[in-house]
Amino acid sequence: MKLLQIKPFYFRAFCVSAPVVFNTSLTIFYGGNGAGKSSLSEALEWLLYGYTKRRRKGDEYSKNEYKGSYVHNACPTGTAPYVEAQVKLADGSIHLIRRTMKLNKAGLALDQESTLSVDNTPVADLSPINLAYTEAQCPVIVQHGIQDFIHMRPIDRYRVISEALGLSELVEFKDTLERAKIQRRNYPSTEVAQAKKIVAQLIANLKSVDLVTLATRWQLENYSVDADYSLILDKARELSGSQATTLESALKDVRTRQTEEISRVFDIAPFQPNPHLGTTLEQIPPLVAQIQEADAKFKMADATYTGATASSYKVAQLEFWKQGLTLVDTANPEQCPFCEESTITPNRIRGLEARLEADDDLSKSRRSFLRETDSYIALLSQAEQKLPQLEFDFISDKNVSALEKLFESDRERLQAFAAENRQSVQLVRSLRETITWAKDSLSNLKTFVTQPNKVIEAAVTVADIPTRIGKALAEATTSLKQYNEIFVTFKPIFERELSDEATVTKFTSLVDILNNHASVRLIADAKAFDSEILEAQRLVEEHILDQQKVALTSRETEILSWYGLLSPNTDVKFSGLEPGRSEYSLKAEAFGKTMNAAASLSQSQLNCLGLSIYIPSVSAPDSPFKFILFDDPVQAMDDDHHESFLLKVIPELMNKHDFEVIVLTHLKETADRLRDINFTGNFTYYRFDKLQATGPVIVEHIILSDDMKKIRQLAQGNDDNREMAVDRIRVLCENIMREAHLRKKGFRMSVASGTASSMVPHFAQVPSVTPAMVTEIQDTINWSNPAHHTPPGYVVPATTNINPHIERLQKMINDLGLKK
Amino acid sequence: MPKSKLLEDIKRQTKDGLLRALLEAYDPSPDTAQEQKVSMLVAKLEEIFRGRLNETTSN
Repeated sequence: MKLLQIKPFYFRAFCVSAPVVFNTSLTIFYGGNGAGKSSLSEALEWLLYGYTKRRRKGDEYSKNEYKGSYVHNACPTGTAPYVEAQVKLADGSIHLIRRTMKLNKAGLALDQESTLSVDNTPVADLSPINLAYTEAQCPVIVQHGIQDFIHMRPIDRYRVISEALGLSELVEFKDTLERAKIQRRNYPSTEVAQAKKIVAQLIANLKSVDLVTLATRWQLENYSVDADYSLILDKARELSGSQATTLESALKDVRTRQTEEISRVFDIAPFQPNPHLGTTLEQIPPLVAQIQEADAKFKMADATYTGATASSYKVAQLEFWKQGLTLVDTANPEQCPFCEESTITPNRIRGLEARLEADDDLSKSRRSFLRETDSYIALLSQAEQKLPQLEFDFISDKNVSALEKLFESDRERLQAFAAENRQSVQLVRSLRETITWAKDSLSNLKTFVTQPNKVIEAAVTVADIPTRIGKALAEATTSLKQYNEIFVTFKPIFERELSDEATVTKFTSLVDILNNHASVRLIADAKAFDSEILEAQRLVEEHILDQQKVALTSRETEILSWYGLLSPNTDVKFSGLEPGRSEYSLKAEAFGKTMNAAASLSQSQLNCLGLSIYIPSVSAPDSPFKFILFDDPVQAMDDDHHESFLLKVIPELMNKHDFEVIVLTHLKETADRLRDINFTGNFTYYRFDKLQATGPVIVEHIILSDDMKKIRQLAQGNDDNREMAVDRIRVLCENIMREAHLRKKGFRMSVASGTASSMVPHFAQVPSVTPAMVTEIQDTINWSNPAHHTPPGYVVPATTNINPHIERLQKMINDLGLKK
Repeated sequence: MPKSKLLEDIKRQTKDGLLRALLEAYDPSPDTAQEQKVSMLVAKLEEIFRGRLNETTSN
């Protein structure tokens, strides 16, 4: 399929414009940035595929930002943008293909939805004209695609190369399946999600019935449902004593057992005396002895203190005097600070000092009294801290009733047991109360310490602390020993006949596990299904790997061949591709060593590699395209690669592969060089003028004076140069006629691609063209034609023979005003 | 866009029933949004899984 013309209509930068015509094997477009070049390449891509890669990538970043970007902003409501192209197929037939955007109800273009027509007949695809192609064969090679290739991650480059090898749909299917698998896992159906919750609980239940290994396996989502439930059945039989052989009957038996256990639940532990009661009780007598000792010390200190207070003044009075002596005015030492009379005589001061000295003894005995009191209280606290070792719960009437139901024949013994429990609890409480009373009383005593008379009174109340504590302790000890004895006799009966929460939990867990067999089965099935999906993914990957090998067998040689054209004689070069599951290994060679190409090749070489991968996809035997459009292909190339691309790759495509080549570039140097290389060939050179609100302005770019300058130089050279000069004179004749027609008549010559002679009659119709000009140009064409065909015996004209034709054409250019 | 020959090939060659069913349900068209393609496969997977469950239950 060759491209004859294309007409974008309100697409991207285009509004309403004449079709862009492609009637030469090479079409060069030169234009600055933003002139509308990429709108042309994207129009072609959109026409063929209904989307552009640039837009698709943009949508990945922000659909909102790119929304509507295919539509020109001046597109009137109700007008559907389209791109239309005239193409020529391999069988010679010419067709008009049009892709039109759909409009919504408001008449606005839906740029993501389009319809296709061939020769004005709606079609679903291009199969009616036997046109089938894939995304990989896209004949539009754009710089951003190549740049992406250079900078992309290995996984993304994998996709690009897979696409270039024609495997993109397989890879996309693989990726879609992976995403579907993840989505399914992250958002399971309600029953699977519910079953997962249940199984998570069952894992805890398995642990509570000591099936820890199985719980670990389930935690790892490793199920073998039948074998697992066989283990569970064994455990159910072991715990319940059931002889069941099926899960259903085991569940029934376990449930019965669970009910029994629940009815026999009585936690006797809170009523159990300290198992080390004997040892604890042995610690009591020494403690009592210590209390007695502390009591003796306390009483002695109390006696000393209360004795001292009997012979001294009241403490407050002493304090009053002491304070008074500190307030005496040294300037007037005899004046009393309180009554302000001169009553402080030396004799009185001596008297006061004697009394205060006596009070020192009182202070000492008071401190001693307080210290002993504190020690006494501390010892009692120590005794109090031991009490929890003697304490247990009080058996209530309700507890007794519950036990009596379970032990109907032992009612009398149970009553005795309960009575002993209650007495013990009561006596231990009494002991605690006695100790608390003693501590409180001693603490209270301390508060009266500055009131010796009250201390004397209060000391009487604490006089019998050791006696009272000793009595309470003796009673509690006797009772505890009796209760402990009776508890020990009951203990085996309790252990045999009573159940507890832990046992009930085991049966409850078993019931849950047996009862939720279906949930486990569902999760196991889901897990097995996930494995099947994984297997399907693996098969696709295997298939892709196989296809990669097949594709690379044929393509690698081509890729290397194109790369060799682009990048000859370099020390570091791309050397091949290796298939992989998530990336291709791009190999490079340097000085006989193999390395990773992506890391080793220069930007320029990677640009060449990108082109070398894309070009063979378009020129592959199964590709229907016989044209290729390069949009800024040489941006990242150095001079040598740039020259190789223009001088070798494009001619190879045109001559060897019979491709129509379209090059869009923003580099004038590239465009001019391409024109120069192909000056004698069949090419068109367009220029994008500054973008207008109405769209890009595309004009044929002919600078006749440049051509003339080159011809003059060649005419002075050797045979080869002069032969080229003569051939270029023929091309110059064609350009003069085309340019004159375009400028004087305002439109392109209809036979612009025909032979020079076929243009002459049209040239004759151009205003300002004289009959003499027509005759002269025909004469020069006839004279220069043999240089193009170089028939046998052709003799290259001498410079003196060439010059008259040059001057004739120069005059014609001047006279027709075509110099600029 | 015609359906990829490679997708048709793998569908024809594979003996894996699940993979074949997924390939049949898969829409490779570039006009179809990726999310929609994923949703279609998820729906297919769910349909197959549910079908299997029903089969197990009825057996």
